[in-house]
Amino acid sequence: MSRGNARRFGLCHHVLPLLSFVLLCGGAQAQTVDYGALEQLFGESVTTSATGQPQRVTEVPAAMEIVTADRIRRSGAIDIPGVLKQVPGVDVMQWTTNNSDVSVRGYDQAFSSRLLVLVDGRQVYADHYGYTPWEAVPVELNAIRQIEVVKGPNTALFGANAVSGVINIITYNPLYEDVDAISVTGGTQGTIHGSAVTTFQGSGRWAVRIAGGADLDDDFSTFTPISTGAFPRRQNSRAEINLNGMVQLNDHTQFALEATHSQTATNRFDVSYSLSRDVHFTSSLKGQLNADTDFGLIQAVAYTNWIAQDTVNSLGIPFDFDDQSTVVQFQDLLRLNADHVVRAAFEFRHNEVNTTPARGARIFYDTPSFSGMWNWTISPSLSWTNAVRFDFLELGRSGPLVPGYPFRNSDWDRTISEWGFNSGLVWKASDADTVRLLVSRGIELPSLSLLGSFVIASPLFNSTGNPRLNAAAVMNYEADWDRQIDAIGAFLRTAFFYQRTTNVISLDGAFFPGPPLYALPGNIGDSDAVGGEISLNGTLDEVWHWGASYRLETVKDKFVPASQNGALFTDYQHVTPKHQLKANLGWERGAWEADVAAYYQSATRGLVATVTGTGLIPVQDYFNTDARIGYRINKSLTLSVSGQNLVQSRQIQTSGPPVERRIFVNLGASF
Amino acid sequence: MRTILLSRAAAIFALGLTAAIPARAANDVSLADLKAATRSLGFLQNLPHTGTVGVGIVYLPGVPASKALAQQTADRLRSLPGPNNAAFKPDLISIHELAGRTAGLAALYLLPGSTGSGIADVARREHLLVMSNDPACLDQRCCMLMVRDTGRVEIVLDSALADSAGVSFSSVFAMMVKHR
Repeated sequence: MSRGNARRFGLCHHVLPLLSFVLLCGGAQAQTVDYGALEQLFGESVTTSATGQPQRVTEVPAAMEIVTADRIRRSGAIDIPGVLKQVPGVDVMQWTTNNSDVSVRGYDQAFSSRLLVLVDGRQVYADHYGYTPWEAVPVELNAIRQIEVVKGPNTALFGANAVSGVINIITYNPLYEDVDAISVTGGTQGTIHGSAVTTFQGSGRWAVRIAGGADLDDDFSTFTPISTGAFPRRQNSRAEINLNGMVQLNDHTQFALEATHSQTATNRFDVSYSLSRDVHFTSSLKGQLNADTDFGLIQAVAYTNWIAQDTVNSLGIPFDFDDQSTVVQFQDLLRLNADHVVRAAFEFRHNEVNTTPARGARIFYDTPSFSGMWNWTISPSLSWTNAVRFDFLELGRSGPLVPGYPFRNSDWDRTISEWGFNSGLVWKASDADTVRLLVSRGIELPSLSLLGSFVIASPLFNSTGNPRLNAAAVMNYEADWDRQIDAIGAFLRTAFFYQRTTNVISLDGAFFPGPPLYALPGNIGDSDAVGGEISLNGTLDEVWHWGASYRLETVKDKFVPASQNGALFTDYQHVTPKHQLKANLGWERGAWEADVAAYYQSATRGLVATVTGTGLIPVQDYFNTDARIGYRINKSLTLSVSGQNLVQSRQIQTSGPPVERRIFVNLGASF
Repeated sequence: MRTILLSRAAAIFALGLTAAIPARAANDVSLADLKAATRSLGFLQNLPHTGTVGVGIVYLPGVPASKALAQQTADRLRSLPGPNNAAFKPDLISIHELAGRTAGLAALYLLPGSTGSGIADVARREHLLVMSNDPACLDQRCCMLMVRDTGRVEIVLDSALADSAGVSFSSVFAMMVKHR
């Protein structure tokens, strides 16, 4: 495995000219969004993840959930999927102790590709294989200010793969927030978890936050179904470190530098629904410049992600991907007058990965993108936001071809042009009522792997990517109604949505007749979803907080005959639960706090590996709970006991191995 | 004699009326209103990072309730954390003495009912932020920032008046508040 691809990194080359420009602009006060100060001012969470414009969460033109730092802490979870499991409308499939796939509004699957995940705006979704390796996301729970969950497509702001939703993990800004915390956890399944975050602030002009953590666990000891292969589950491990520095260059300009590294070893459920052994090395380097100028809020960002993924699948075939993606973004957000805010942005993305297991060639693309947003405050109670983005992906391949390969390098010389949009009308019908009407189009790109970076050439079986794949498109139509119910101190949220996915991408939807015969990915048809969500959250006497949510959703796949009923690795109709219920209750008094979260999901079917591809097996409905009890020993120290899947010692929740009850004891200190 | 008594009664009634209206409004500055106002100050440009931030609390002379509320507001302001690392230094100012009492101030806080046409002129001349929790001050163009917390924080910025006084906020703040 090669890890020497840092040579192509050109952060300084991209950032320095932008820095010079912004410093010359002159103008007003800083800067990046001070989430803490704005949340304190408005008494509610603030986000930029809906439109790019800072907004109160109750005013955004999107269906959105924000998980605050306090809710993360009180969830008792030790990883991000464990937190997300408790969020209304979010689907989490847990395959092993530290391998989960997450989606929004159903459509979850192994290597879930429809949910874009970012940390402070930097993509941690892995383009080379179209998934998020959650265990390798280099962030500690103690360093997270809030997790923003956008439901529905948001390609217009974030680009491709923000189709079922977006999760933007916002960490504390070291310049504004001095976070120092240590946490040690031990638990069942041999779980050991340590985490530390510390911040150094220098006279208000600079600050650095360093965070790191390490985990070990022995995984579940439940039986593994025959379909998952004979691969034994081994110890999972994770270690990560990240550094965030921020400098106040002058009263109106800030520069931020972020460097991260993580390495993990995981028992993973792979795209063929078999257990595999996955090792990830990820690194990133990011520079960001923010300036508050006479020409608006200017943001320039450049970052590179390196992901080395070494996988041995259930048949013992090794796949070694070395992916490098570099992104340069430039954005101006400008308030034209009292009623109009506009955003103009340009992005350039270069992404490349080697072929594997037949090595020696590279698949790559360059994508210039242009996007814009216009927010019009039509009246004090009515606003309309429109955003659009155009992507021009220029695909390419270089390097040798294996004998009998069905394509030439010139087959990759093509441009995939796509566009996405978001349009949202927000009507504040009364002091208590808000109505949103939303229409959006999102784009799911084929991963580099599906475009040709996996090449299996053998006497028995041949398979590779397909350079002729098209992007999938998701249209979402939605009507939401929120109501503040003061009489019971509660907030009601409802959403009704219809979603149509066209050109669904599947791992195995086409073939080249040969000889030799090659199995290829393909676009296998369309899928429709219709559903509704309702949630009610409230507090009582500042002692209790409570919430309940219900989602009803029906999915209808319209796939080509060969791909129906989960035959070829993709099925949304049968794996999406029709009913999903979640509830939570929290209490605190003095030094004590207690929380319980319950979730129910109706019966589904799950994909399993078969000799010819995949098939479906029944997965019964299930109910389970997570809980946490915490005691503040003193101002700094907190001792807590938390648990997951508490109702049963072991439970089948997916088509993979059953999950087990987990218990954690945590000692946390914050200074 | 009867005429004198009637005149005195009328005078007492009139005085009571003038006092009662602002007194009822004057009760309306809550701690939540004040917190939201002081937090908004943190987004004002060119505010001192350290030391003190002078805030003039403008009250109606001759209305005891207004003066008492001004004193209470000043006391509360001293106890609240200032923007950045600065502390608040409140100063009680009668609305009639406003013209000569603004030296060293960064902002004026108008108590409800403390409105007057000359306030905007003072703000423009002295480049002062004028804020209040009284929506009427926006209608009367006496203040450029109305901040109140009635369970939901409401902030309205009179951009034209702010511009004419040379008062500006960070772009992030300006994008998140209502404008008129």
